[in-house]
Amino acid sequence: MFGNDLQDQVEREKRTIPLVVEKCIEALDMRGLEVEGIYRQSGTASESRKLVEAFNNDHPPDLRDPEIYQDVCSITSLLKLFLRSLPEPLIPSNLYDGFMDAIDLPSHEAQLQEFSKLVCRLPEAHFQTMKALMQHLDRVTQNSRVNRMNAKNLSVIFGPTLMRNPDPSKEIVDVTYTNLAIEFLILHTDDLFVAERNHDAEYKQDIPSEENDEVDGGTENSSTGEAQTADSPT
Amino acid sequence: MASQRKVLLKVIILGESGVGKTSLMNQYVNKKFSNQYKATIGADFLTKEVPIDDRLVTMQIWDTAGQERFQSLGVAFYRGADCCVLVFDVNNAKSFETLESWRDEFLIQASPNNPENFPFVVIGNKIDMDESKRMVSQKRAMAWCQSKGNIPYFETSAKEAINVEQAFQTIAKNALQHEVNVKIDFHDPIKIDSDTPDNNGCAC
Repeated sequence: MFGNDLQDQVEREKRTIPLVVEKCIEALDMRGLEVEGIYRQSGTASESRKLVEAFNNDHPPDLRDPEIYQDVCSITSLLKLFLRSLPEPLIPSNLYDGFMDAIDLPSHEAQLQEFSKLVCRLPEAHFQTMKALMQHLDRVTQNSRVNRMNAKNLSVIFGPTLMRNPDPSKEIVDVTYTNLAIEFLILHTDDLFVAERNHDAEYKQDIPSEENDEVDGGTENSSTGEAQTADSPT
Repeated sequence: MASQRKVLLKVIILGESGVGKTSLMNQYVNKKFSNQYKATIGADFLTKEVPIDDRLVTMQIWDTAGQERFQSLGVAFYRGADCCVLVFDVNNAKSFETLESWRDEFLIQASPNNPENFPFVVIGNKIDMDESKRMVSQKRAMAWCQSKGNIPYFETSAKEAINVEQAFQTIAKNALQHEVNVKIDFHDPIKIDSDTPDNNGCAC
């Protein structure tokens, strides 16, 4: 299960999101929201290993039972490990540059618009898993007065876990932006992950229509305008 | 005296998330403590000029993120370290139990010439907390340090500036000692520009 492609995994399990993600989130919503440094603290190595084995052998344990798994952080470690082991990260590499450009946009509205488009382009399994995870992280931040993990702190943990520069040598250079992108996703979960994915919006963009032609006409005009301004100083 | 070489000591701080690595560094370098709860991104460093036995050395202190994701920061990061500081929280048993794996990780990545003699310093932080919360006794920590070749052990509070100065004094001394030992085999550097002008050469 660890290290499998996400889409293959959910198809095999006949679920919308992988069982291990669902079980971890369920247990953490119950036991973890008030734990200081939740997700920042790493779990007991031996316990995390046992959990990985249990899921790999199709014997998922009841993570909600504190008698069996005492250390809540072993569950966060399990979830982080699962996400890190995905061959294609939750934010797939073909959308990596898109998110990096989107977070660099000057206005908040433009960022939100671009993020919405990008989120719609996530493959189905990635979208559903991301949605479940972000909604859970949003609940974590709602308790940040107790657990001290606000969106910024969570982004430090999840930035490199959820998105990876296809060129690993650039990872450390990009880290500020990847963290900002994840922070943005956590802070705007409600806007970005609406109840049903708006496939139509994505579909329409690719179909040229009369309306689009008009828009194109407008763009043409403005580009002529730009050319003129560019010319005028000379 | 004037010709004395400038010395740069590289010190690396390792340990679990939330034990106080950043706070210790800030307390030592900037004499400040912040109650803000902030996870460190990747790695960061501060420098401080320290007088040791009549000479002034520059200590470059590398603070690291305790996150698993960054546990393998890579060979380049650890290379050339002169001292490694292992930090745990005396109120958190798990943070003490993982010291061994942090030490191993360092020795694998940095691969110092003489691993048995490489200077480590262990710090048990957060001693300002209530005694009832304490999970790792001084005795237990010291026993571990002894078993690893007598690693110096300090109990500190970055919050209340207890023992931080003393711990870093030892870190600096041991780092300098290591630096001297490593560089002892090196000859004087080749001088490219000579002090006396060369009058014999052709001017064209």
